[in-house]
Amino acid sequence: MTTEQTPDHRSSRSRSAFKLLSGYLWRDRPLLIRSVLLLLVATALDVTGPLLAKVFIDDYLIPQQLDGTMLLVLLAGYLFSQAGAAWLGYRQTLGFTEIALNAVQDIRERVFAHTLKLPMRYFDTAMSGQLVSRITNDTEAIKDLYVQFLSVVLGNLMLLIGILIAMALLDSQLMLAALVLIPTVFGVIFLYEKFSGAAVQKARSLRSDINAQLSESIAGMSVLQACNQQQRFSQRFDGVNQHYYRARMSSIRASAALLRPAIDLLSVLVLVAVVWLFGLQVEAGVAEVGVLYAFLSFLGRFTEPLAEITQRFNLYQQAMVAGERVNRLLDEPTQQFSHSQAQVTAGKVAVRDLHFAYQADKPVLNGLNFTIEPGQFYAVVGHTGSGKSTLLSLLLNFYQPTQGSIELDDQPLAQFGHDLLREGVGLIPQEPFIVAGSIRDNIDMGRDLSNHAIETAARQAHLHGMISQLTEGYQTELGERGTRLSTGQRQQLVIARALAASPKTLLLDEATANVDSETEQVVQQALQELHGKVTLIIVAHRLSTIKQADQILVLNQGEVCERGNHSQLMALDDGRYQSMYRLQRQAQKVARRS
Amino acid sequence: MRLFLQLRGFFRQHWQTYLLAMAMLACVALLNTAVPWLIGTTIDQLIAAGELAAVTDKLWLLLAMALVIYGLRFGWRLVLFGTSYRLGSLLRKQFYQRLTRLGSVFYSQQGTGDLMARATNDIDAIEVAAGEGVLSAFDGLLTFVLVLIMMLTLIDWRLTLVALLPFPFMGWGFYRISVSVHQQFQQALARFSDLNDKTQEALSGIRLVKAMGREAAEAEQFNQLARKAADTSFQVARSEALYEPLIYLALTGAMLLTLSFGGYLYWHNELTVGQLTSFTIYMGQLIWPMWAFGWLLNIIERGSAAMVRVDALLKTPDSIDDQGQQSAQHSALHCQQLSFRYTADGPDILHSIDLQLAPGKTLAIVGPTGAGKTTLLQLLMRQWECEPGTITLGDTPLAQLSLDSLRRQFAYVPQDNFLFSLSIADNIALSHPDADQDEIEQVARLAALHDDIVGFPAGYQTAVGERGVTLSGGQRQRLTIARALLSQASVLVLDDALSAVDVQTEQQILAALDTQRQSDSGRSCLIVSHRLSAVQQADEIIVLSHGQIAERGNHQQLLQSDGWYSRMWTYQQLEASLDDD
Repeated sequence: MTTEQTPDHRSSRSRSAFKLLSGYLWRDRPLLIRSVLLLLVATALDVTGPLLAKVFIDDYLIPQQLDGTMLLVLLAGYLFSQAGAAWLGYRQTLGFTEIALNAVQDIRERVFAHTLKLPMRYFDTAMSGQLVSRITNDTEAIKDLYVQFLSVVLGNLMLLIGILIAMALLDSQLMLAALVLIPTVFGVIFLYEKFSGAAVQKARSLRSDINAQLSESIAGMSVLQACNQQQRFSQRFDGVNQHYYRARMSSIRASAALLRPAIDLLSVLVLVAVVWLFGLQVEAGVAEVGVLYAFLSFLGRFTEPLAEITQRFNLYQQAMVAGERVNRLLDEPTQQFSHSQAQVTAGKVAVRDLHFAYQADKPVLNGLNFTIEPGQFYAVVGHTGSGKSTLLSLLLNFYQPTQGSIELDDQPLAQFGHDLLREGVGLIPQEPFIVAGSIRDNIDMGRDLSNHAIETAARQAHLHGMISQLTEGYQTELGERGTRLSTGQRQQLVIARALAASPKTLLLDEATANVDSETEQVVQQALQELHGKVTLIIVAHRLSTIKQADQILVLNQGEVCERGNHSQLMALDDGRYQSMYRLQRQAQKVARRS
Repeated sequence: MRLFLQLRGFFRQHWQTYLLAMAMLACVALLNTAVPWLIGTTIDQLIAAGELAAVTDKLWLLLAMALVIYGLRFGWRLVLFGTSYRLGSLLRKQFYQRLTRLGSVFYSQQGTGDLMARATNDIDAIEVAAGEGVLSAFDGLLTFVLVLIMMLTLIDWRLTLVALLPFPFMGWGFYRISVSVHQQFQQALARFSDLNDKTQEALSGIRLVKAMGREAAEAEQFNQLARKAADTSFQVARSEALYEPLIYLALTGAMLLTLSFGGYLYWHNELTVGQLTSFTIYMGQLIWPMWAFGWLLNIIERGSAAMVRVDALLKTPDSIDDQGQQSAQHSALHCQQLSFRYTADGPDILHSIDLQLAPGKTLAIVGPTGAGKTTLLQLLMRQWECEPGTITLGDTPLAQLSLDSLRRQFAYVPQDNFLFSLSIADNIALSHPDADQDEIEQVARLAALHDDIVGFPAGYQTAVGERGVTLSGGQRQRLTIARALLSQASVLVLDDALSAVDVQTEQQILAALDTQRQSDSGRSCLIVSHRLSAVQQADEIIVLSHGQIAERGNHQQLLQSDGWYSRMWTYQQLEASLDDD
C-alpha cells in the first residue's frame, strides 16, 4: 500500500521539496523582510526591559536615591519597550502567518489545477481519496513550516547570536568553547532526520490510505451492508488505522529520543565536564572561580534557544515530507496541449486507421476509417463493448490512439490547444449535469459568454420561452435549493450549454437508460435544427434518433461492420442495423400499448 | 472543559497511563531543580578541598541524574503522546463503525470529503488536546504552584499578592480569546471540509470536468474555497496570536508592581535586595505556566470545536434501527398490504402490495422503469423502514430480526456493481472471505467470467477498483453475480443484474443457478429483470406498474392475458430470433 523508496531517491526528492517551500519565502520577501525586522526589534525591546529594571535597582533603589524625573523616564522606557515588544511580536506572528497562508493557498491552487490537467490514464488507476489527501491534508501540514518553525527558529537564532556576541565581549575563549555545542546540536538534528524520516513518510502515506479507504467505503457502503461485511471492512480499516498509530509512535520515539531531551542531557553532560575540568585546574592551582561562574550562567542561557530550535525540527520534518508528497504530484506529467492558435473553423473530422487499446493485448478499436464533412450528421451505433464510448473518449482527446490518427479540419487533434479544442468540439454527456447556480451560470459554465450568445443558445434548445416565463428569468437559481427542472428541461439546458460556445463539432452521448418521450423529442428537435450547421457525431442507443443521419456507422468489436444512411442500411439483407432497428420498433409498440 | 467531560470515558480507562506520565513529569521537575543546587555545592566542596577526588561521587551522581532525567523525559513523551494517539485511533475506529451503520439517506446528504476531513483533521485536533493539552495543564499547574509557594513562603506574601494583581485580568482576557477561537476554529474546520468536499467531487467527476472543458471553472471554485479556508484560518491565527501579548503585558504589569511595591518595602527595610532579585527571577519563571494556560485554552477550544463535529457523526442514529433480537427461522418472505413513500408528504411509491415467497421458490418482479421494483426489493431487505409488521421473514416481522441475521439471509446483486480496491478473487469472495481458490474459480466459471480473468496477466490476483485494471460493464456485472453465487444465503436477489450480459450468457448463468438450487432446495430467488427470458421459469411473476401489482401469475398464465407481460414477451421473442441470425 505504501510505496517504499530508496534513500537516494528520498534525499533528491526532499531537496526539491525544500526548493518548493523555500521558494515561497523568496516570493513574499517584502513581507518576510518586514516580519524578520519586526522580530528583531521585538527581541531587542524584549531584552531592554530587564536591563531597565536592573538600572532601577542598582542605580536608584540600592543607593536610596530616588530622583523623580529619572524614575519617570525609566518607567516610561520600561512601559514603552514592553508594550512595543508585545505589539511588534503580535504583528510579527501575523506576518509569518500571512506568508504561510499565502504559500499554502498558492500550493493548493497549483496542485489542484495541475491534477485536473493530468491525463485520463492517471485517473484510471488513481485513488481519489488519496489524491484528496494530498491536495488538502498535506498542504495543510506545510503551513506549520512557516508559522511554527520559521519564526521560532529565527527568533531563537537571533537570541543565540546575541548571547554569542555578549560572550565574545566578555571572553572570546569562552565563546569558542560554547560554539563547540553547535556542531553537536546539528549532529543530533541530522540523526533525528535520519531516524524519523522514514517513519514520518510512512505515517503521511498511511494517512492518505485512511482517506482512500474512507472514500471507497462510503461509495460502496450499500454493497458492504448488503454483503454483511461491515465487520470485516471495519477490521480492514482498523488495520490501516493501527499501522498509522504505530508509524506515528515510531516517529514520536525518534523525536523523544533525539530532540529536546537529548539537548537537555547534553547540557548537563557539558556542565559535569566543565566542573570536572575546573577540578583539574583546582588541583593544578590555576583555577579562576569568576570565569567558571560566567561560563555556567551563559551556558544555561545558551542551551534554551538550542533546545527550542531542535524541538521544532519535528514540524520541519512533517512539512518537508508533506511537501515532498505534494511535489511528487506536481511532478506527474500533465497532458500536453499544443499552444498553437489553431481553431476549429469548419468542423471536418477525419479518422484514419484508428487503433486503440487500454491494455496492450486487448484492442478496443481496430482500424476505424471515416471522414465527416463539415455540417454532416454521423451516428455511431453498436452493442455494449463495441467501442462506441472509447471512440468518443478519443475524439475528446482523453486518450491518444495507439496507431492511426484523428484529424480536425485536416490537422491532427494534438495540434489544438486545450481551450480552442473544447470550444470547437462540444459534448452533450449522457447524464444532464446541473451545477448549483443560476440558469445563466449553467449555460455559461464559466466561459464569460455574452447575454446574446446565451439567449441564442437557449432559443436553439427551445428553452428560451420557458425561461422567460420564470419570474427571475435567466437568474433563476437551480440545484439542490433552487428550482427543479424536469428531465427534458435538463436535457434542453445541457444542449443549450453545448451550443452556447457555437462549436463546429458536437458530440452527443445518448443516455442509455430509458428516457421519457418528452426528453427524446427535445433531442430530436435540436438535432433537426442543427443538421447542416454543425458537424454532429452521435453515439446512439435509440435508433429512432438517428433516422435523419447522413451516415450511420455500425460498430462491432472495434470495427465498422456496416455503414450507410438509414435506408441503405435497411436495404441490406441480414444486416445488423436492420435487425436492431426492427427490434426497437417492436419495443416501441410494446411501450405504446402498455 | 466540556471536551474533557466528553472524553472522560477514555481518561477513566487510561487513568493509570496518565498518572504515570504525570508522575514522570513531576520527577523531572524535582530533579531539574536539584541539578543547579548540586552543582553549586560541588563547586563549593571542590574549592574547599582543593582536590578532585573529594567530589567524584557527586559528579557521578550528577551524571546518573542526567541519565535518569533523560529517561523520564523520553518516557513521559512516549506515554502521554502515545495515549493521545491511541485516542485518535479509537475515535477513527468508532467513526468508521458508525459509518457502516448509516444508510443511503445519510450518504445522499453528506459529502464524502467532509467525512474524510472529520476522520483526519478534526481527530488530529482532539488528539492534540488529549496530549499536549494534558501536558500543559499539568506541567503548567505544577510549576505555577511551586513558584507560588516559593514566593509566598520564602519571600513576602504581601508582595506576592500585589504582584499577582494583573493576573485576574489576564484570565478574563484568556476567556474572551478562547470563546472567539472556539467559534472561529469551528468555522475553519467547516471551511476545510468544504474544500475537501470540492476536491473529492471534482476528482470523482473528472471525466465530465475534462469533457466540458471545466478545468478552469473548477479550479476557480476550488481557489475561492481555499481562499475562504485561508481566511478563516487567519481569523483563528489572529485570535491565537493575542495570547502572547496578553501574557506579556500581564507580566509587565506584575513586574512594575513588584518593582514599585518591592521598592517601597525595601525603603522601609522590610525586604532585602537579594529577596527582591529572587522575586523577580521567580516572576520570570511564571512565564511558562502562563503561556501553558493560554496554550491549553487554545488547544482545548480547538479540540472541543472538532469534537462537536466528530460527535455529531458518532451520535447520528442508525439509519435502520437495529433493535431486533431474533434470527430468522426460515426464509419464507411474506408481505401484506405494503405501501411506501420516501417522505411523509411524497407520492406513494408502492401501494397495497401483497406477495409471498416460499423457501425454494422463485419470484420475479417485472414492469416498466420507475414502477418501484428496486424500492420493493430494498424494502424486503429492510434498507428502508416501512409500516411495522407488513413484511415478515420466517414469520417474524423484519423489525424484530437483528439486522445481521436479516442480511445474512440475502445475497444481493444490485444494479450498479461496485468493486472494491481488492484483487478479483477477494472481490468475488466479498461476503465469504474464507472461500478457497477452487470455490472462487467455480463460481467465476458459473458466471462466465473465468476465461476473462485468466486472460489478465495476474489472473485472479489482478487488482480492480479505483487503482486496478478497468473492467468493462459486462465483466463487472458478471463479477458481482459470481460474488452472489458464492454466497450461501437462502434468498438470492438479482436486481436487473443480467442487463449487460448477452442472452446466451444470461441463460448459462440462470441454468447454473438452477443447478445450484437443486442441490440446496431451500434456496429461493427474487429476480427483477427487464429481459423476460430471465424470469420465465419463475414460480410466480408480478408485473408492477406505478407502484401497484398490475398482473400476477406464472409465465403461462400471464401469456394468456393480453397484458404488458404478453406484449413484452412477444417483442423479446422477436429479439431473440433476430439475435440468432
